[in-house]
Amino acid sequence: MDMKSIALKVLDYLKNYLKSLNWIVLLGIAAFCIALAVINNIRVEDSKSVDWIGSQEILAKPDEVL
Amino acid sequence: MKNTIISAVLLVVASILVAIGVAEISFPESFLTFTDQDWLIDIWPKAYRYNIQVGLAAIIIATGICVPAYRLQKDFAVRALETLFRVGIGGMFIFASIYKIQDPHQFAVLVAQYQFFPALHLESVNNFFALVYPQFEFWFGLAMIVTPFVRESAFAIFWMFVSFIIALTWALGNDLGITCGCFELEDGDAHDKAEAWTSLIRDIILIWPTLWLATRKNHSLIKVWKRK
Repeated sequence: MDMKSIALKVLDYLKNYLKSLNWIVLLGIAAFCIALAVINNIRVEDSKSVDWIGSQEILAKPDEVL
Repeated sequence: MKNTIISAVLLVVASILVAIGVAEISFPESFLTFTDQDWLIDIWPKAYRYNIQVGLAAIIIATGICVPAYRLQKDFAVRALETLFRVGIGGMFIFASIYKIQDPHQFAVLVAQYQFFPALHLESVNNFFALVYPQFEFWFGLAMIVTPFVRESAFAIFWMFVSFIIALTWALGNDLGITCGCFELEDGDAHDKAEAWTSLIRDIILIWPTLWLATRKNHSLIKVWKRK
């Protein structure tokens, strides 16, 4: 078997595998997680919540890092 | 019946060894480890430095023990391994997510220390990622244990492991010297590069059983044992 046919077989297997997944469940859990993340950010106290969009400051690396 | 019992005993021993291995690699001062035991340190004061080697040895021995267990009673061993991996990996993800869900700000600080999003010009995604990712860990971990959708949850957890491996490799490659932040949140500050290495080793080991679970048929844990 040459490399091309192996690559095609792997690609075919991957395609069939992805088709076999229950995407409604996967995307459903993902959407549920996003909704809960929104609720959780509102639920926690102010000092522990973050802005939806943005980042945090990058702290200085201490000298004693191994 | 005799083969099933021997296979079960071997798998119990293998499970204990994996638990010790993961604890030695990731939680060096927990109740499951012995490289931090006083009696051992009295005999060999440098024993605590070899926790990763001891952990890896325990996991390699456990893998070796699974081979005769599988040969003795193939069907039983596969069912037992599926159960152990589902409970173990799912439980680990649930446990890992709790601290992060409780303190989104601290986790967002920790994610920012990886400096990964700025490199992709996606800096503004940092906080949203820190909010959503622990929820993914919790719910996909739970789904792996309590729902029949093992393929879907293992598929999601597999990609989470891939993202951890990329992030830790990135941190080590750029000499960021940050803590993993996998199971407990510290102050988000840089501490010890060794922890990132141990986390990377752990993730590289655990991605393989996850990949195997992603190819299993969808069954609840009860059905795993009931099906003929």
